[in-house]
Amino acid sequence: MMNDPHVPPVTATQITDEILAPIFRPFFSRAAIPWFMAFLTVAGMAGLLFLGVAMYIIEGYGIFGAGPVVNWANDIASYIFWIGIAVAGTLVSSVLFLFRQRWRTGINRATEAMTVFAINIAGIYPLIHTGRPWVDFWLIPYPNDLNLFPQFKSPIIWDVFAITGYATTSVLFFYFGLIPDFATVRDRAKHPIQKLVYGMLAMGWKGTASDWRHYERAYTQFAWVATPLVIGMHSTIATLLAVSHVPGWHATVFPPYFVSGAIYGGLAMALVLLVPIRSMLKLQRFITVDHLENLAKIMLGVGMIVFYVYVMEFFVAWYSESTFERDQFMYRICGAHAWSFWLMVFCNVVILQLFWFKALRRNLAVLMLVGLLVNVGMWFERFNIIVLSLEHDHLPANWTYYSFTLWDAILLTGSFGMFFTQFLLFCRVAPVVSIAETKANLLRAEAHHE
Amino acid sequence: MSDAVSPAPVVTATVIGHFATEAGFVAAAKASKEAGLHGEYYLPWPVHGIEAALGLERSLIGRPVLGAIAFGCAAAFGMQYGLQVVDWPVIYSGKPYFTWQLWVVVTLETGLLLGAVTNLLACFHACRLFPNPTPAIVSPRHSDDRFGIALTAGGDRDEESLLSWLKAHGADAVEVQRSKPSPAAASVGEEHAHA
Repeated sequence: MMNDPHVPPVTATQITDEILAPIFRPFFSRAAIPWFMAFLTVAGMAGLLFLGVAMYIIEGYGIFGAGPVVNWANDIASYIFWIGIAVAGTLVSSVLFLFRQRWRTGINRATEAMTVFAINIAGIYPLIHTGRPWVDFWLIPYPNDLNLFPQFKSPIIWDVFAITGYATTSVLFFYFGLIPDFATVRDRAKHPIQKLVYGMLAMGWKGTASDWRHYERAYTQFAWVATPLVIGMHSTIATLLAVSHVPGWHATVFPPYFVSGAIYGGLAMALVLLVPIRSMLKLQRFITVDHLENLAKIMLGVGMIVFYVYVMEFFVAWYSESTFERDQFMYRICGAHAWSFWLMVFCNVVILQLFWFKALRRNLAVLMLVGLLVNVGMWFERFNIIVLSLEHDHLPANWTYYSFTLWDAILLTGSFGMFFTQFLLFCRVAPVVSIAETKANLLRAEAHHE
Repeated sequence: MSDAVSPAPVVTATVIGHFATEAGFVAAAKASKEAGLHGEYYLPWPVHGIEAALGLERSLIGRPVLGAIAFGCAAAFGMQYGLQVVDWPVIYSGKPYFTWQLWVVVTLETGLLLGAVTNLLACFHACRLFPNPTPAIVSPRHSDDRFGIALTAGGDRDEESLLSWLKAHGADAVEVQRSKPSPAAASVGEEHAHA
């Protein structure tokens, strides 16, 4: 047993105690100080989101840098960024589950939570972007004043369905996985309010043999449903761009490009969350360096696919003999916004090469650094695709230079704050690691070793 | 006040065996089925092999999910056809009214969404799950570190014989729980007493 780093020597009760400690710990305790400091910081950042949205409602869309030419800017770049973060959570929870990768147990709950929180942040942006969020309900199949329905041949509507389907399924899948663990919290809770709340959330779960039989079947089915949904969702967003005629967007490689980029960025965000949270909540026994190294290995593989697509975009632009495509990609590498392109290459391609070395893949500081930089790189990837293509399109008379405004920065900072605030709150109210699955894996492995 | 002898309430005795290991639990569960004992089996985490040991059939909740996906796809496709071909046909980007290729995304996404919701509801129905803060659990440790076999005493199996049986089949601890008589049970008991 001791030779297997995946199998820490623990009992079932120890697993329960350690995973539930952050929930039962007093809110203002010495052990919670790191969490509390982090929470105050990100909650302050989250306040900026409310400020930005309030100002937008009062002043209108003109407070942002987007204008008549670059009409998709921070909103859509950030939207695609956050949707991408959401993709990786389902990759870990569904795809790795279907491939029977048992190591996912340590990290699947945290990445599922990441998915849910990222997707609700992402949802804010297109609602803002419409300019009149109070009539956003026209996007769903609901006839407007002229008795007209949405145009289903438009990819914008495809996106509405894709996001709605994925967001709903992600939330259901996330909650479904929590039910047996909520029952454990219910049975451990002493305070009557805790007993009531977790009892309601546990839905009266008893854990009989028959219950588990249906539950495991349903869990597998959720994984089967979520996997095509997640691939379909990000492919739809990519198609939304690819069916247009804007130089730099009109490419058939976009759907797989976006899906691989989303997985890449999402795994980077998972590292940013897991590296500090495992020590903050004292979960090193369950979220091990092996888990983080596995994430780094997947990142390396997916990141190299992203690098390949970057190269192929340039090759196809040259090979197409399209003047506009060639000009767009020349603009990206030596135009007014070339710095953002090279920053993307540095963060997404150069930094990633550190992961070829095992010692660096197992170094927490390096993992955190790469995770942060890849997130920066992935945001700039979307910025380059959206903004650089629009500010340098077919008509030279249209050419412009897009500038971020203060309110764009406030909105973006606020969205990160809101995302991390939700995640930190989640860490104190629900088990960050799946208790039942962890026991099933660790204790069964231990029994086999004996 | 009546001077009739008050009837004895009907009390159900449940004999519970707690098991620390998966292997011991599965072996005892299998033996209990073979011995024809009636009861319930509690697991803090899923154990492979328990379905075969207890003779449980494969869950059928895949069927309503498949039906929901098919219905969702058909409904979404029908909605798009009805709106774009029948109700309000519009030439859009020079495309014909009936362009099924452009309806694939909405069709699939709707079908899968309906499948996901049905999956959750079907599992809730199969497991009898609903917002219930105080379910009748026999031991809080069955969601923590102990497997449990709860056998109901009755017929030719009294409490003592069930306790002995569970101990003989490797239970780490055994206990007897007697249910409080419910009003319904008490009234039934009363009727029997009067009869």
